[in-house]
Amino acid sequence: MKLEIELIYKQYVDYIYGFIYGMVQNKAVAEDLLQDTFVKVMKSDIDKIENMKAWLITVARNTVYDHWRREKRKLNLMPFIRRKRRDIDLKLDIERGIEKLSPKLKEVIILREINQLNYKEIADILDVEIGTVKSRLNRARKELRDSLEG
Amino acid sequence: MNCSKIEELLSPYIDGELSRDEIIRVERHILECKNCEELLKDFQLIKEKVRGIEIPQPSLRIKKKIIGYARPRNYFLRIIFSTSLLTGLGALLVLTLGHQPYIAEEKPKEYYIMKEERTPYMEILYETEGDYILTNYEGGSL
Repeated sequence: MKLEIELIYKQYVDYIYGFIYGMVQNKAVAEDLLQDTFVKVMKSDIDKIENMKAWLITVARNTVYDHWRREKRKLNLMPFIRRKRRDIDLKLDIERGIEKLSPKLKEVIILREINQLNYKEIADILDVEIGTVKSRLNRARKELRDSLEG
Repeated sequence: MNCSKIEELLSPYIDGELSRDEIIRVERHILECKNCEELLKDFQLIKEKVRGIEIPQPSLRIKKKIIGYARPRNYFLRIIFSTSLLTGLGALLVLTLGHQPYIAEEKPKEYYIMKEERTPYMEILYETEGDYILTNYEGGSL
């Protein structure tokens, strides 16, 4: 098991971490979520997984969504909390643009550009039609263009 | 073909996901339409910018932690692991108690668990008094 996890880590860490970091854009949070993802992986029966790459992204994606749900609850409880100024200043315009995208648009652009998956692979992971992937990517790029111009 | 139909094809065009016929349709339209040509250029620029985002490497600490989680599943190895751990702790306890004189006057220290909330939306908050014990996220001491 240890050897398997080490192999999965070595082979896929950049791929999974790239996705998580792209989604949350914060190193500390991304590392916590990477850890949570691997805890879930360890608890799963990995011998039965047919497409490891797609499955790992699905696990990472669920972990990110769980994190956002927890954050939303916290924000509802404590509306006064705000983001650290330093974090905002260090981000590139494009990163700020991605941050503003809705989760559905954010994940297609990350899966396409950071993970470099094709439309079929993205559609399989998100369990949607290829046409939906096309239209979400178009919308994501249009919104990014608007945020860069504005 | 009108602009809205071509717009739908622009993302798949730059991602190399169009058929030969669709590529020809897009390229013919672009030659005649300035707006769609501009949009295509913007999409290509955005693609480059997103691909150019620097993804940091996860720290060595996280790697060690993740690999460390994968404990042996074998039941026999688990027993050996737990037995050795308990024996070691027991020996340490005996040694510590054996060498430390009992001080009746000393006021017992109070420890408070310091919790660190670290999220993209929050300042790091510390709300405690007294002596600190650093904790990991599960509450165990580091």
